Amino acid sequence: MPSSLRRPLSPGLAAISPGILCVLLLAGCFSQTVEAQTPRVLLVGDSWAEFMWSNRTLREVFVENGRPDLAERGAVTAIGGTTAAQWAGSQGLELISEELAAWPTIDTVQLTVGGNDLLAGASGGGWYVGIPQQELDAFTTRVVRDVTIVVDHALAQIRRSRWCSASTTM
Amino acid sequence: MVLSLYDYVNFTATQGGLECQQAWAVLGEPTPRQINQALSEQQAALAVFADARPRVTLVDHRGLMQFAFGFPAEGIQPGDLVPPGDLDRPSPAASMFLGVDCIHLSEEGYRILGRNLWQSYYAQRLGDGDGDGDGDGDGDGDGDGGGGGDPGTVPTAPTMLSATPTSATSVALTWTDASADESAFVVERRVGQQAFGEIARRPAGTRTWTDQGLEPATTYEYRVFAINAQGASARSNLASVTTLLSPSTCTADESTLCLRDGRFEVRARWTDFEMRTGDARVVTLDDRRAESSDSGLFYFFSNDNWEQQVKVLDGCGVNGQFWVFSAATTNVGFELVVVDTVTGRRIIYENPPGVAAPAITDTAAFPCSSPQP
Repeated sequence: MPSSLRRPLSPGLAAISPGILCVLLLAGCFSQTVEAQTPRVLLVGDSWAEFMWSNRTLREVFVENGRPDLAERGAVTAIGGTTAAQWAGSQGLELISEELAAWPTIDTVQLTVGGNDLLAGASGGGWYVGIPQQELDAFTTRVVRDVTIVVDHALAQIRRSRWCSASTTM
Repeated sequence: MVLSLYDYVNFTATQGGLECQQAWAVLGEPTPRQINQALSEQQAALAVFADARPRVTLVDHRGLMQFAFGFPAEGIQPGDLVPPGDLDRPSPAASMFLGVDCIHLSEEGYRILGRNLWQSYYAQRLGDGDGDGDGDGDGDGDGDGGGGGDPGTVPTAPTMLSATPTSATSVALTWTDASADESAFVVERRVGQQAFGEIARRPAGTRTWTDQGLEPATTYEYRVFAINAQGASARSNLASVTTLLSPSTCTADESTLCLRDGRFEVRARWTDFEMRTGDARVVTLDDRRAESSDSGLFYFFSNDNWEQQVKVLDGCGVNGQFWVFSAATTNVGFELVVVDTVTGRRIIYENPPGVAAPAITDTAAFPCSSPQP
């Protein structure tokens, strides 16, 4: 969902906010202590993904369930304020490719998008009270199409990285 | 590949915070039902997409905050509203980030989502290291601990176990009853790496229970399973929780405010851009502390450079809660810690370095009455 409410980001995914920089710095420090953990999950998407990454939510849940050896990544692909359309664009897809190439043990992508598209309102091409059915249908079709692009891209990358690293089957 | 989508937003109780008024207006001022319905319809469209892709799993989080937090002021307790919940209600304000963000959840809220992801996807995907991913360690992949899973045999394991500290000595548990043929639920507890031991049996259909007589400031782990005449289900997820601090008294000093006749202890600690930290200090004016019954002022670096005002207000006559309000004129990071010395309940409000601090307007900070067992 939109972190534009909390932490606005410029439309380009290449822009890195101070908050993201902070996360990157923290991730750099954190890596000193988590070398034994294997990254298996890539968090991709908007501020709901970013909050889960910043809180290290999945890592905590993995420990709760007896898998302290597992970890997630989200330092550069969990970006508040982003939309499905942005992730389906070339910059978004490239970020996913780069992260999957850098972390070949990752074999699951956790994608959280669509919230910012929904909450963009009439002026932003999103949902609003009284939206005509035809407009709503077009909006929904667009979000599903963008999600499809991201999913297909990620699955193709995961397959390739798995093949290269001879990791477990998906 | 997992699509982790959203729980409901809250434009009802958050109008004073974090630009929520503007965001709500942009959408045409929807009712909770209207925005929840729109979210549900978008998710339904994505579910159709996911159902057609065997390698894609969609995890539905709708209603989890209503389930976990309830609306106690309205007599709706945690566990009463089962997901996907009540479309006419938002996610509870208590589940939202700082209690005022209309979109984002608190750390506990996201933890609940994480547990839902584990139950719905990761337990099968990543599992318990025995290769079958079922979490039971028996290697047969059915998740039942070796006993099968057919109708008429052992019950299905409870899910979504959540533990919340309610005092220095008690913890409230909630879980989802996923079976229709259990005869009872068994609650187990451990401290540290000790073995789990049974601490309670509750009747079929039970979804909540409060553990009492615990040690203050101690971390406990819980799990629950269902039983019937055929045997026991697999265990639920683990829920870890730390009990609150013991009730104490507030002692005012150069870093501590004692508000509302000393009931609330308020301290803050700052972190600058080079990750240096220090305690916030109470501002003094002509050798007098900048502190009243309700409010106080902190500085971080210099007594001339006031950084943060904090208030604890008595909202007991309005909503049965003490309210915490704070305004900080800084983009230095800080942790503001407010402790109710009567109950031991503690709330930490955080602002990361580099972010202009938003106002804190927590109108559900501390219950006026002590929690009941």
